[in-house]
Amino acid sequence: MAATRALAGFLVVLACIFSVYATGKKTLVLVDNWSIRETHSIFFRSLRERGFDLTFKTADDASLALIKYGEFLYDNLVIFAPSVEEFGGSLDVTAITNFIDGGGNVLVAASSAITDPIRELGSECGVEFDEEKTAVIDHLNYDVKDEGKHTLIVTDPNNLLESELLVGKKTSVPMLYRGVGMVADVDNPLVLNVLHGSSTAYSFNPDDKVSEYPHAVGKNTLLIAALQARNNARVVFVGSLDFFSDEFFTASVQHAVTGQSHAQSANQQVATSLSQWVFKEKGVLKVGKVFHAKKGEKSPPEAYTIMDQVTYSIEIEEYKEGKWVPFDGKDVQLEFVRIDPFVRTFLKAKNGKFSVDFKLPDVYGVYQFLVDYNRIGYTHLFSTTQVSVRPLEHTQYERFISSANPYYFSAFSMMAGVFVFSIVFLHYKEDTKAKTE
Amino acid sequence: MKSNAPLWLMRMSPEKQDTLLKIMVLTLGCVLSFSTRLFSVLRFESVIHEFDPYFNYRTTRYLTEEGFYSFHNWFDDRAWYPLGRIIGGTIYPGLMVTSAAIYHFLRFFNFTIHIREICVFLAPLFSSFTTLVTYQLTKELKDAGAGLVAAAMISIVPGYISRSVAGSYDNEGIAIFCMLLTYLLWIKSVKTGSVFWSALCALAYFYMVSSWGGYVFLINLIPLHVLALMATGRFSHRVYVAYSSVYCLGTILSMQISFVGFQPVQSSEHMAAFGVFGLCQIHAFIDYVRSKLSREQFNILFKSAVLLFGTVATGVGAVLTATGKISPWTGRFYSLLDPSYAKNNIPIIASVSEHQPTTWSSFYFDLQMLVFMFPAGLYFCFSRLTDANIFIIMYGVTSIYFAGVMVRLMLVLAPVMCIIAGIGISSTLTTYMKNLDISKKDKKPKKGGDANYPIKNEIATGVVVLMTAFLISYVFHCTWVTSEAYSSPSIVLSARAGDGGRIIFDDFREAYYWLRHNTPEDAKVMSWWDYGYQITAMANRTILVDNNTWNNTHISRVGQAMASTEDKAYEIMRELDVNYVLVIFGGLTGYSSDDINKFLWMVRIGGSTDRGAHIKEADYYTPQGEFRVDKEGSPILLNCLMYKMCYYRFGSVYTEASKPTGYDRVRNTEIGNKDFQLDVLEEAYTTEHWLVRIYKVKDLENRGN
Repeated sequence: MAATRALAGFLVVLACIFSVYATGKKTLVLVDNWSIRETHSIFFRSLRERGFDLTFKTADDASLALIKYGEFLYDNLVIFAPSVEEFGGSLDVTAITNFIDGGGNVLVAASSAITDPIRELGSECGVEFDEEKTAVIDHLNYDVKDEGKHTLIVTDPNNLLESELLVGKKTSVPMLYRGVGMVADVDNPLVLNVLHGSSTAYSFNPDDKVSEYPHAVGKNTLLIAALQARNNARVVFVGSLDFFSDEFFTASVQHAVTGQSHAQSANQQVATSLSQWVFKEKGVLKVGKVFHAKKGEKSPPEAYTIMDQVTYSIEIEEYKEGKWVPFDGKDVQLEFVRIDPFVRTFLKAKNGKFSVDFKLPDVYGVYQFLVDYNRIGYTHLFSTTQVSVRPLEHTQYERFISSANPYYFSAFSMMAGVFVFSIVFLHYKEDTKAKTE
Repeated sequence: MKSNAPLWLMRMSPEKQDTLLKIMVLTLGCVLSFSTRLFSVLRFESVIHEFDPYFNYRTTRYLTEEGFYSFHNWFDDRAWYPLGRIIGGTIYPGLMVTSAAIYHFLRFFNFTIHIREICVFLAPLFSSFTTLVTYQLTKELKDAGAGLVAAAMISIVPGYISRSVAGSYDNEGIAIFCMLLTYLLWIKSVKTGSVFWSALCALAYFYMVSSWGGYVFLINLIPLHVLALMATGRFSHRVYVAYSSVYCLGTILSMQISFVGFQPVQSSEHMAAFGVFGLCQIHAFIDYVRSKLSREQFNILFKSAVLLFGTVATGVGAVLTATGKISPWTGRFYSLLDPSYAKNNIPIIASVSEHQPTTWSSFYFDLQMLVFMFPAGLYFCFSRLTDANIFIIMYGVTSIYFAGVMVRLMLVLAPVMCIIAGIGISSTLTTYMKNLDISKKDKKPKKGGDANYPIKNEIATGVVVLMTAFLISYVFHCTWVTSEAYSSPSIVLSARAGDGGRIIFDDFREAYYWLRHNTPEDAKVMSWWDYGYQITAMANRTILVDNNTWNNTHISRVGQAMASTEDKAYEIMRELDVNYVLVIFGGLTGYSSDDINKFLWMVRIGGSTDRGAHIKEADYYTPQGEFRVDKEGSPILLNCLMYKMCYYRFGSVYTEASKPTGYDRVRNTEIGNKDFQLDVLEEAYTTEHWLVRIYKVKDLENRGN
């Protein structure tokens, strides 16, 4: 008994270690109803094949919980439950935002049947969904299979965010989209516009007359939005649940207006790429060892002196295909900051080690070596190292300066003069006395 | 007295008795001056007082631990983040070196005493030395009797005690000793005309320069003395030798202090000394020429030379000032000459309470009977003018002027008051003591007194009794002032409770120790500059601004943060990497020198630079021009960061019986904005009596809003 318990304990420890390295594979999938498992089987299968451990639950399941004993039970959360009225168990919008703030990744797909919890979650993350029963409508870009409401939209691949990390290789094949529109919160600098509608799109209830200004119009209509939080947790909102469906993955596309047709939509490619990004299979960077020292020295000094030559290096690794490999970015910059940057320079990469030699400014103070690498798709890399830069010590100044030569000369000549004078004075003392008297 | 004196005293010769008495009086004076400064140690504990002393203590500790050279090259990255401060080059090291020397001296004899104790007791120790020096100085000026009186007076004069109680570990504590020592040696060298005394005087001057910025007063006073001697025709070879040696040696020595640097040859404050030095040479030369030439020849030569040199000197001076070689008159000096200058132009100087003009009452408070004995003493000085007397007269008159301009210069005035009043009292007593007919019982019908001085004896008795009464009241006054006004450490506060007991508010240390133990090692704390030194010394955390107010823009930046709304302040705080904000709040206890009362200075200083131009003092007043925190107060004030930090959660607290919640006991009003939340800060710690409140600056929102 004891032995098994010990073994179990060991396994738990091992599992913990393993789970740390196999970054975030435990995934909770919330669905409206079990049929979604079938209608979206291609997407889920691709997740499973990539090693994700999927747990399916209905969104109103009373046993739902993301956190237990202060630890998150899952690394990722997929919400394919647009019409949930209220989450079950201990799950609610606050629990999900806490999950995000705790580092969890969330993929949310909505539809025209969107309900308040999902909309609330969106607005917590800087995305405003349109109301229930609305849909994105585009009278100039719809598929031939559309049922007359012009809500089955053929999206222009040029409207995709240009980022290979998020949406995969650039393609000319359009995607099919049917669902609710979003707008990004203008005050939120973190929201990424992954896919937006064309200029003719708008979001409204397709059964109603357009009686008021639509929630989203033209290119402001977001179809897919992504958010990388400051703790690098990733959230993706897709307004269309069908976007991930087997039907859309395999469907052929024919533009109803221009007549252009493609054998298969780009939905699968984009969805896979998005899921790879949101679950941190791609675009994850980490900082390894940060080293700085005076040039040619092995360890950093207690404080630098102004105008020292220093070496700074930082190791950056990228998570690629399940392994940490050296990152090979060309545009990583180092700043040497004291309120304002005094030095800003590119770092040269060599096998994942980014380094640069530079001369410290002629201003003393408390500085920071700052690497702030913020590129779309990559985790936000932020590394600061505080160092003090002191002025010259009293022994480090030049002892003799050539411009002072006249002063040296005058001082020594004065001394010599006094010496000579005192000899003369002493020698002729008797005479002068006699003269004055 | 004589009949009661023991036999061994009788057996001594009068000279020996005299010496013994002097020694006894001086010893008692020393002991008295030391012990009267111990009130705060006995009442509270052996603790460093106020603000600046904490910095001095910290640097002294560094000096004893790290040695002189690392002290000299010390770059402090804990203060003035992120600018840092070169400590070695921006302080007068005399105080620290003195304490460290005493420390090592004691260690050598295996007295293992903590450096803090030395720091606490250094000022009382040096005031004992001052007593001795005063005696010597007055003796040089007048006689030993006056010296004893002056020594006794200075040992308890409140004007000096205010800066030298135990725990008040500040430059002034030793500087007064240095100053009087320099004066003593100067008078010696003027009297003797010997290079030996002049060299000693220059050394004393060096010590003075190394310990206090007030040396400027000294280096202007000595030339003034020389000038006065020239004007009165008392210029002699003795003065020439004394001044030339003191000036040359003293200037070279003073330039060794890195904080002083090249100022003695560049700044205008030192130009008087330089000019008088030149004048001395000319005067000596003229005397020489005059002895060689006839009167007419000399007159022609003299006139043409004066004209020529006058033009040349004015020209050179103008060129140097224009090119910036001679630094323009600095603000602090202007404020000496024109008390309203600083207030109108430099808020940071005006904001220091000790830079305010002195009120009349504080003259009496700090000097008591000396105020009216001073003119008497001056009279006695004038009645027998000597070179030395002229010096003390100049000293007295100039320092009275300066003390009137700035409260803190009362310190310079106090010694000369004691000396001149000592001369006055001593002379008066000597005059009338002679008239006391002590032997009248034996030979009463001698002559019936002088015809033209009828009741000589009675008048004499009256004067002596009156003088004694004055002296006694002086002692009582001094002791009372010391005990009540000058012995509070201000780091620990005390108040009387309703039942008469004493309540101790130890909130400052509570907060500083909280910071020390609960925040990251490299956390940056923002507070108003008054508390900077204490935070670095006690909490050991990085601060943005401190009492060494050398960078106006940086202080202004902090003032702007305090005076802005939360959003604006958050930008500034992020720019400066602030982690914690500390405010002092007295509304619960009634502690009146809190941040709300200092707030107008923050607004003024904050608005005094370009980046703070949007902060206008008038916005913080009501339309009627009042500064109030109640409902009538200006909405900008009621929503600024400082207000919010001070009054956060205060709106729901009952402070006084029969008053509504949120009743501020300092401003005596109910606060105007009670119900608000903090967006960018969160309360981290509030001390027991709410005196110190610490807030943590929140990070940016994780999800971006």
